[in-house]
Order: sequence, then C-alpha cells, then structure tokens
Amino acid sequence: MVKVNDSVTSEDGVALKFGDPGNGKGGVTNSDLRVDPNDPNKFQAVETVTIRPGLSGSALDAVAGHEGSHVADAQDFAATINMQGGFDASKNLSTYQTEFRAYMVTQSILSSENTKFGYGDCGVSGPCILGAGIMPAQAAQTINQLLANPANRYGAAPNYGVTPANPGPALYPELTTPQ
Amino acid sequence: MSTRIALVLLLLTAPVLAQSAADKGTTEPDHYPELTQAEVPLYPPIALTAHISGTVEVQVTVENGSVVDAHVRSVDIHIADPENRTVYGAQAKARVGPMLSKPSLANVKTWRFKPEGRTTFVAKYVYRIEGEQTSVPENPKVELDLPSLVTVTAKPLKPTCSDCGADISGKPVTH
Repeated sequence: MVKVNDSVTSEDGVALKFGDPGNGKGGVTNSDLRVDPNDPNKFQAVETVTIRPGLSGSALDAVAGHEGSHVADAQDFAATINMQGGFDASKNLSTYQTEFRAYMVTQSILSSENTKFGYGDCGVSGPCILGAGIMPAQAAQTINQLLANPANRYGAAPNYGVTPANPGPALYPELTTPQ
Repeated sequence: MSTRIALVLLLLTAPVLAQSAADKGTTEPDHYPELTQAEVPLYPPIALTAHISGTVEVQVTVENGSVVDAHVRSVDIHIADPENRTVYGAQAKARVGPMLSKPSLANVKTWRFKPEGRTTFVAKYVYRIEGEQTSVPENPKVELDLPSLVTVTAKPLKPTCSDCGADISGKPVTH
C-alpha cells in the first residue's frame, strides 16, 4: 500500500501536495531517485504527488488512486536497483504501461464507488467512460483509446499519444540497461 | 535516440614530465607511459540518476604496454538528495563508493600503452553533475588528460512527470 506524507524527508520518500499541478489538470506525479536515507544499501524513489485543490468525493479518490499507482510503479522499480549496478529493467515501466495500470486503478475505484466518469476524448463516442458497469475488457479497450489519442496528451511531443507499440519513455529513462 | 557527443580529447601522447614523487608526495612517475588506446568512460547511469558524484583515484601499474595492476587508492563521494534535505554520512558514502570506483577500474583496464618498462602512477577520475536539467538522457562531456586525469561531466536529470499535460480528473457521467 502506498503511504503519503507531507515531506520527502519521510521514510518512504513520498510527498503529497495540494496545489497547482501545472500543465496536468487534475494531478501529476514527479519521480526521482536517491540513496535510501534509512538504508544506504538501497535506493529509494522520491515521489512528489501534486493534486489540484477542490476535488472531492469520487473525483478525489480516483485522482489519488491514479497518482498512487504511479508512485507504486516507481517504488517497485527503485526496489530492484542494487549497489552492484543491477536492476530489473522490466519494472522500469514505459509511459504507456504506467498509465494503463493507473487507469485500471481509476476504473476499480470508480466501480467500487458505483459511479462513472468521462476522461479526455475517445473520438466519435465522446469522452472515454470508466467506472460502474464497464467490464474489464471494455475498460482496457477504453483506456487504450484514451492513451492513444494525441489530443489527450499522455505522451510527449511530437506524437503525444502512447500505445503498446509506441509506449513512450521509461519512468527512469537513463536506466534501461543494467551496468 | 538523438545523441550528441561532446568529447574533448586532450591526449597527451608524448610522455609527460611530472613532478617528482618526493615533491608531490604521491605515486607519480618521472614520466607517464605513452597511451595508445583507451575506451571512452561514461557516467554510471545509476549514479547519475541517484545524484551521486565524486572523485576516484586509481593506482595503475603498467608493464610492457599493459595494465598489470590497478586498484582504488581513494574515493571521495558526494551524494545529493533531490530535495537537499538529507545529509548522507560516511557509512552511506562508503557503501555507494563502488558505484563510481568499479566503472573507473573497468575503464582503466582498457588502456594500452607503448611497450616500455614498469611504471606506476595515479589516474584520477572525476565525475561531475552540472548544468541545466535534461529530461532526455544525453551523452556526457568527457575530458581526458591521459593518463592522469579523466573528467566526466553529465547534466542532471529532470524528474519524470506522469500526467503532465493530461487531464486525469474526469467528469461525472450521469447516464
């Protein structure tokens, strides 16, 4: 389970702030890395989650769960890095992979709260609908459409969209090949 | 991936007169052997990502053109916390030292010299993180004043941002 704290000096390296998430309209997560202050034999993900003030209820739950999924992904990878220069590159997820997982968390939260939300643009069908009554396979398809549409800006320039074939950079782009 | 190599080679290919060992109190030869081949050192990626910089001194013995012995003489590590709030102690620095010393040793073992007698000297590897943050990995600037000094300078990495530019807040759907 992801714990959140108000300072990155906390033991798990996670900070949660309510404030302007900048270009991210609901929330953003910044991922960095440091030597674990509590155990210099390990590395620790340094995660700063910023959530827009004013969200409440299911909207807040969904955003917190979504960003929490990104935090967990970064922590899972950081835990594989060792002092010999090794790490599990398969856990250094691409933008597509971490967004897909985060939206599956969003889907799960909305379903459990018996509500539905629309996200971004899924083309002629309008916003991408997730939540109650959406079957897992359908949710996966919707999430893929959401992430692939350049208008929704899940990737970086010049393509903006991310897909399994064009997954975008890894969470830690420098760490793709173990030393 | 776009790459930009800023490689400054200051290969002192002629034997260089050095101060005597007595003058400097270090293991330095009367002259350095002439280097003929060396791999380009890079910034160890984990060290760069985790904000680890520092200096490694490697004592190198060369005989008949080959490195016959190399060992770490000293390591001076600096570990930065992304938020500049954690001060790392000697134990952490000692534990992290191999992140820079191992690649330094590996690099020095790629060196080849013009065959001559046995010579021992110290090669210093300096790893710096300087400049503007970059979100895309770039090749470091490598300065070689061989065989005594290697300086590898990399730009700091910008933290990865998830959901920057996207709207993950959504809107309730009533139907």
